[in-house]
Amino acid sequence: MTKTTGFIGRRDFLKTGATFLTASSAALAATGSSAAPEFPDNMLYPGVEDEAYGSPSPYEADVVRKVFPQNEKSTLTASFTPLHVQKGIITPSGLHFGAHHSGVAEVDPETHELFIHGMTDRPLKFTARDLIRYPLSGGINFLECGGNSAPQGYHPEAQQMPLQYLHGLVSGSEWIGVPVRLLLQEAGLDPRAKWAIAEGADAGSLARSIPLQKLMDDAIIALYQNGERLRPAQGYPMRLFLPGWEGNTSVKWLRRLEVTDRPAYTREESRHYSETLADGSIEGFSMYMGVKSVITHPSAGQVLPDKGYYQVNGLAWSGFGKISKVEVSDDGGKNWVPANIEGPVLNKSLTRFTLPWHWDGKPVHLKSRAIDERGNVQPTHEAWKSRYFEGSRNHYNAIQTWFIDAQGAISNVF
Amino acid sequence: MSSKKQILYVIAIGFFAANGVTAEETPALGQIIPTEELAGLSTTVYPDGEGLPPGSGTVQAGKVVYEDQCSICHGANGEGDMSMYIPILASTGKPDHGFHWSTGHSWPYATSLFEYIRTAMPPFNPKELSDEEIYAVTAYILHMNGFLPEDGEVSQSTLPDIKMPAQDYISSKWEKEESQY
Ligand code: HEC
Repeated sequence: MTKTTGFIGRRDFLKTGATFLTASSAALAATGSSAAPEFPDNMLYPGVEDEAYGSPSPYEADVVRKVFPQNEKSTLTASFTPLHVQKGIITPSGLHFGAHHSGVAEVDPETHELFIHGMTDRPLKFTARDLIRYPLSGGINFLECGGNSAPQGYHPEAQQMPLQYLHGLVSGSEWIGVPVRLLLQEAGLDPRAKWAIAEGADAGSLARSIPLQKLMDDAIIALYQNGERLRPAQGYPMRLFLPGWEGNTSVKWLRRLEVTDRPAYTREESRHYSETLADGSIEGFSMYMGVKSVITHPSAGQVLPDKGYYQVNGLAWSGFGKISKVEVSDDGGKNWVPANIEGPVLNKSLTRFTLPWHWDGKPVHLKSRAIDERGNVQPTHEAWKSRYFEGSRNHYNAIQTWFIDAQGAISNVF
Repeated sequence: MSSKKQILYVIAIGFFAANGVTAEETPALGQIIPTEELAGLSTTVYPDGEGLPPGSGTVQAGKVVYEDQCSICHGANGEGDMSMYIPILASTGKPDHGFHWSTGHSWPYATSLFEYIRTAMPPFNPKELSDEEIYAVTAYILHMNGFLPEDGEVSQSTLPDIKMPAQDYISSKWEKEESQY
């Protein structure tokens, strides 16, 4: 690799490896000659008993979601995942993002029923207890709100917000449940049926029209998230889960699937989750989440304490399939270096990428660009903006640029 | 279904049949929904009016409902307050900024207004309005947008006939993408 970028190639590493070695053996020698440190209390006194349900270390108390609150006029609320501390493709369930139009519904699993009716041979209902006995399947998938990264699409100037607020409406989990196909087959589909209206048991009866094709493909009624039953904020006791699609379509607290031959144009799909295109027309039913990536370390809200070695870390995902490549640039997009894709590389899942990097202390523009297996390339901010009307803010998936100044402060720039 | 998916589907069926495997055995625990539970279960309303209950309401009656139960949040003229996440219900035309669409100019079908108000509004005490009140306040929102005169009225049969301007400029991205992939 020619040294036009600060990314560390294998050969560079071998060369500098010697320096690391010298430094660490010097440190060892120093420890050997001094008195051993005293035992800390935790090595002198036995610890407390474990809890029935474990919680994070009290030292990690600031690893929390940022909750955008309800106000006295609106029940809409959003909770943002702390991506800036996340390493890995699974978001702990309690840190999973949430976007709730009518608050978090408290649903009793004993009385809650899922109704499947409309253009079916038989109208059927199921309890969560029934569903758990079905063949379960699922996988590790990302879920992203259609409004994730909205400040980037909406504001003409780049806003100085931390990563969590800019891109924290995406998370990754293992979702396990009953393939919707099995339940539709049990109810028997009218051959003219093409859609189903999915409705939640929340105060606003949130509803979306879902094409049957998706429901017969990889859709599940999710019952488990990351090994345990769903959290209330994720739709307990059951939610629709549509891998790769706009988060709002994965209707939480699922109560009804009304099989039909046409969409209903519910409130959510009329304007709220639709976009305005550059020509002033409205584009709805934007189901797939486009290919996207973001560098989480370093990112806005963090500071580089010193020049030298850093591991660039980030996440990439696509609603169309697997991530095939992520590239990183530290010169504003002139040169792109392929990042290491850290497995597993899963379909419609967060995918971790890393790259060793040497910061020379000079101001840099750091960015990542993802490409998926269908050949979709993450667009530049300018290309994204040119597709949409000023102020249209959903489905922003453009390349994120972090500007690192000579002091190591990181800001969001376009 | 794309033709590729269709082929896979057919192959899959053929495969399972040939092997005599019941590919998708389930415990089949679905209970038939009794007829009396089915009636009134759906609150979905379709653009052609399917799902609308019998009834009607006038712009004049809707003004009373609106001023009583809606204007405190949505504003006297449906201007909303996006800083509080209160959508703009009414405007005179298309906005010059994508965030400032009104319901009247961004929703393609007036039937969706009925459905949404019936199930979700007002947000802290939803599902309390009568069908007559919902028809009336729907008529009033349409009036504020200029789609109904002051002495106008909507009913189960006329609401689907209201021509919302967005019908002329809304498209489905899913349809475009589905043909591509
Ligand atoms: C307490 C404040 C409040 C009151 C009172 C209220 N609304 Fe709303 N309304 C909202 C909020 C907030 C939203 C957006 C909800 C969301 O984002 O999920 C909304 C959304 C709507 C929408 C959807 C608009 C769009 O384009 O998405 C309609 C229509 C509506 N309200 C009608 C009414 C009517 C009719 C009444 C009176 C019967 C009413 N509202 C009373 C706060 C209120």
